[in-house]
Amino acid sequence: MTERRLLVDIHRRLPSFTLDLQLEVGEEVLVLFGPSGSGKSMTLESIAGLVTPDRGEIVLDGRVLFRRGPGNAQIDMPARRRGVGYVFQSYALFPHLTVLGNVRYPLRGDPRARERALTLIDQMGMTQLVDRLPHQLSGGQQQRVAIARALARDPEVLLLDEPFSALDPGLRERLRTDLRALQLERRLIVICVTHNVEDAFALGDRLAVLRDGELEQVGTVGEVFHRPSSMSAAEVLGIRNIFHARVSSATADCVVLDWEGLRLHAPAQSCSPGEPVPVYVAPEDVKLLYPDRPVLGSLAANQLSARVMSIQNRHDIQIIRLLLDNGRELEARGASYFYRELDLHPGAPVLITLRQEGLRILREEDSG
Amino acid sequence: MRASTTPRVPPRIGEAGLSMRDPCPAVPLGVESRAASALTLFGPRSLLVLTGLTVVAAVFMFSCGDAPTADSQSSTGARPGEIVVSAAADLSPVLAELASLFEKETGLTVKTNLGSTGQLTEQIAAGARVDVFLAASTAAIDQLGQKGLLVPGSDQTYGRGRLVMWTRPGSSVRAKTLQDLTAPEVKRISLANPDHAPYGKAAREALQSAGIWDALQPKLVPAENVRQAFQFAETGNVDVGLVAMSLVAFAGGSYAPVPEELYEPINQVLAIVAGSSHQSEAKQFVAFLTGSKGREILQKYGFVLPDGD
Amino acid sequence: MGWQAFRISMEVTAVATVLVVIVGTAAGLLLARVRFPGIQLVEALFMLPLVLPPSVVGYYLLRFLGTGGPVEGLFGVNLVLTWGAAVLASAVVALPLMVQAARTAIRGVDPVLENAARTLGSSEAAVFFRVTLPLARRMLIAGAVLSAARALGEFGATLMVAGNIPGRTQTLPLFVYDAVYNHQYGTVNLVVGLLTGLGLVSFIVIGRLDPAHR
Repeated sequence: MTERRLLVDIHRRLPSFTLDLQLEVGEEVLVLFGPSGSGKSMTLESIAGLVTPDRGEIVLDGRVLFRRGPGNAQIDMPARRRGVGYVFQSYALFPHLTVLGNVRYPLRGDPRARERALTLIDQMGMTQLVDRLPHQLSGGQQQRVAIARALARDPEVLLLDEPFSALDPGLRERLRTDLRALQLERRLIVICVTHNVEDAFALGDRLAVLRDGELEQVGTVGEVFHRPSSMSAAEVLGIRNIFHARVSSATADCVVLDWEGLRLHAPAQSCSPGEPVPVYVAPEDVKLLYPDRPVLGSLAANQLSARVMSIQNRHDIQIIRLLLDNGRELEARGASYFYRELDLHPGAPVLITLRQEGLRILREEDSG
Repeated sequence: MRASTTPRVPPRIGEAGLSMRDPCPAVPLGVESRAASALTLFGPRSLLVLTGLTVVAAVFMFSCGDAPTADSQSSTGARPGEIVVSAAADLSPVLAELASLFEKETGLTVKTNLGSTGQLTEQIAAGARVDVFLAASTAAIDQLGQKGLLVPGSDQTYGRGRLVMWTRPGSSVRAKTLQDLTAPEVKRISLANPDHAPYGKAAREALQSAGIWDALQPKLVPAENVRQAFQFAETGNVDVGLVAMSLVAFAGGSYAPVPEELYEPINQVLAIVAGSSHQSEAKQFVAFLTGSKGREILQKYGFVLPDGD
Repeated sequence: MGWQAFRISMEVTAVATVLVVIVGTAAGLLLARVRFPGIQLVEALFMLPLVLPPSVVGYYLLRFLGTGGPVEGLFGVNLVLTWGAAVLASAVVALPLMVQAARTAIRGVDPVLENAARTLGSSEAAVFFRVTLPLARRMLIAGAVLSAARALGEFGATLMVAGNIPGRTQTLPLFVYDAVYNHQYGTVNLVVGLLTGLGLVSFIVIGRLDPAHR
């Protein structure tokens, strides 16, 4: 059985930028990674047939879904016939239908619709919620109904737009696992849009970095993160705050990391002592401290001394690059008014802390 | 790049902790849609009322008798044995009596369409399927005749209307002569619109002939038509009404005719409409109206008949 | 005679409302979802009967339905002084209310839901009937009730173009007009009470349908 492939080549002019990308996706999870406004959602919408590019071609498993260009016969298959499942960022569950009604919606005309819908709902572990209305469901439950519904017609492609953005970390992890399992079981071509680094690591086989409508880099997740092909890609990925540390100890409460001499406390995650791991801390989780104010809770654990290297002001955000005692650099981000009373200038010594919950050990997928 | 080659365990997707798979699931009673059912939307009682109204409406829609059918002929004209008579407003009471007697005698049905002469003229000019037109002015008839909308030669004057001064029952105001109108106790006087209503025009002519038109200006209250002028007087909103005798003949109160030489005759003219599909029945009605029984009724209501009074 | 007028009013209002709901919803859908040049003009045209005096509406209808007008040209039928003219007069004045309600109702449906329906295999018609319509239902019903109430109260244009023929085109409002002149005050009070009551009931129903009031 040869693998199905999705070939995407689209070009579309927009007021703020021009979308121009070429992608080839097989039976895998491709993460489309990029900041907001870079064209990620538009790419998904083009593949699904909700939006028509100016020119290009989209071919799924040998079937032309879209073709438009000088001299070519125009094809624009309507969304309903493309065999593409779409999970929207807001889930887009029909508020007037129950869970069963939602999952059954695409199966109209199928004599065994109810049966098939119930099976899917059962597979997602939501059987006792069949009669609930969407507003009676939690975020995670709504998410799974949306996925079940998108899969009801056995699509070949599954598109997800920021699927986990509104969910808490524990739930995210479980759903990521579920999604990978689904992809394997059904041999789906999955394209998942996110701007969350953890999701990218955990979910993706490959990563495509998108910025201002153009692809910066495509490759396996590990590849892209360790060897970003350009500053631009690196910026998008927020790579600056990814570093390599060694696990000193791991208990049920906390993990202690050794980052080239600096001792850090991270929340309990699965890892083994002595293991070298990539660690990520979001710039928003790097805080500068006021010397005379008490430090509370999760900010107390990882206090480090550092030196300011540069300060950038963007809109109402400040981006501060810091040099740590171990010679490594970190980036801190905060609202402009956070540090107004600190005397910050390049070279100034500061006390910083890394929020304990913000330290995440990144787990990659095996490649190859 | 391909997905991981180490196969993942069970194809079952579940969220541990939130749902445990039941090994023997009973068939769930799935409900498709909870779109607000009618009961939650309206409440049982109002639902009943609404249903009732709908049923009532439906019943009426299909009730027999005068319910319009899909038959195009019947929806745009009179049905067989039926004629439509457009008549000026002042003929309201007299026409009711005439029509009822005619129906009894001939078994035909008369459908009356009352309005202002101008409006009725417009309707006929727009092709309305009217059979007989009873106008309160010759001008309207002439206008339609010129457009060829009337059966030639069918027009005739069947009477003259008379202008009277009327006070309602129980009123202490005296209005026997035109001069009485200038008395201070007469504060307000109604009349039909002098610009487009025949009785209003006549009232203006009479007052001008008597030389009191200007003096009475502040007291005059023009009404839309002569029926409304009568109503103003009847409800006591004005003290005296300058109205048609046919309206007040049996209305109680007291009336005094305005001398006829002071105004142009208010000719009551009739004609048969050319587009009528019931010309023979229409002729029958006209014959009745101008015949002895019709004239008797007209006279009762104060119309002056053509061959002398 | 009052009974006849009641029956005619009920029939005329019912038919007019059905017409208005269908045309108004279609127009509302068009105005809410389709972008085209001149859309504001089209919207203004639909709204016009709301501000035009009844005499002007009646005049337009007279031209439209009478000799030399398009209706006679296309269908060979002259509707002046018929029940049909009464229906049209009522429908024309009630239409703007329905168009407004429909447009707001349909706008209120999240377009993402409609997109989701498209990806789930629905044709445009299915999207409208299975997603948009059920979600816009309450406001559409409110619009229909308001239109019906307005249609029931139509007077001026009806008088001009349908005439005042008891048993044929004399609706309740026309009947009241006549009855006042014929001093049938007993009946008048009854009818006026009925019409007022219906008006109040309409607004109560609308109030309960309006999400803002819940």
